[in-house]
Amino acid sequence: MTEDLENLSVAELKHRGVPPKQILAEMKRRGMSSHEILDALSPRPPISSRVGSRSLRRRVVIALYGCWLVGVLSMEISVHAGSKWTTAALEGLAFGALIIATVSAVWLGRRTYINAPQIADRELDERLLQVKNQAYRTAFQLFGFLVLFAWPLSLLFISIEPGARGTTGAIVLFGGVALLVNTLPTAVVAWREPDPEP
Amino acid sequence: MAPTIRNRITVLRVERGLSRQQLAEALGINYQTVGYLERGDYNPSLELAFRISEYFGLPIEAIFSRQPFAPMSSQLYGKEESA
Repeated sequence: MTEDLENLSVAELKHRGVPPKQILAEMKRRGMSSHEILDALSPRPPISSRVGSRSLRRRVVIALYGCWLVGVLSMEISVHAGSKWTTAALEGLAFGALIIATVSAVWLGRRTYINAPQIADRELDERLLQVKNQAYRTAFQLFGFLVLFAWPLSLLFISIEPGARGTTGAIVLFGGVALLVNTLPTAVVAWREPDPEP
Repeated sequence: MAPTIRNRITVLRVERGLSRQQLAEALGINYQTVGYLERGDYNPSLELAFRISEYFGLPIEAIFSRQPFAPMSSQLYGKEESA
C-alpha cells in the first residue's frame, strides 16, 4: 500500500479515496512545501481564466468605492433625518451598500493577482510581477494624496463636533482609509489590465 | 520609455504550428505575456530571452534585434541571388 502511495499523484490519491490526513502525511513525507501542499489540495484555475473583462472589472471598482460612499453618506444623513422610518430606511441603505462594497472587494481580489501575494506570486511571470509592482506604486501615490485630505478632515470633525458624533465621523473616515489600504492596489490592477486575449 | 526590441517570436511560433497558450506553457509564462512579447509591448528579461532562444534552438540575435528585421524571404532569396 505504501509503495502504491509513493507513485501516485495527489489527484490520484484523492480519486482513490485516501483519507485527507493520510494524503497530507504523504505530501509532507515527499518534502513538499506548505505552498505546494496548498496548491495540490485546492488547485486554482489559471489567472487567465479568472480575470474577466476589463469593463466588468471597472464597474466593480466603481461599485466598490461608490457603495462605500453611499453607505457613509446614508449614515451621515440618517442622523439628521426627522422620522423614525426615514432613519431606518437610510440605515438599511447604508448596510446594503456596505455589503455590496465588501462583495465587490472579494470579487476583485479573486480576479486579480495581488489578493494573496504569497500564493499568487508563484503564478506570476516577470511581466505580471511588474504590473503588480507598478500597481502598488500607483496605489501608494493615490493613497498618500487621499490621506492628506482624510487626516485634517478627521481632526476637523472632532473639533467642530466634539463628542460621539465627531468621533464617529472621524472613525468612518479612517474606515475609508482602511478600505483603501486593502483594496487600492487590487483596484488599480483591475482598472488597468486589458481584456484577456482570446 | 524603454527602447523597442524587435523580435521574431510570432514567425517562429507560427512556423512551428504553436498556439500562444502552448508556447506560454513551454516557456513557463502567462499566455497573455506571449501576446505582449509578440507585439513588442514588453521587453523580456535576459533570462526569458535565453529561455526563448533555447526553446526555438536559435541564437538570441536571430530572435531579438534592436534594428528592424529584414523580411526572411528577402534574406533567404536575396542572398541566393547575389551568390
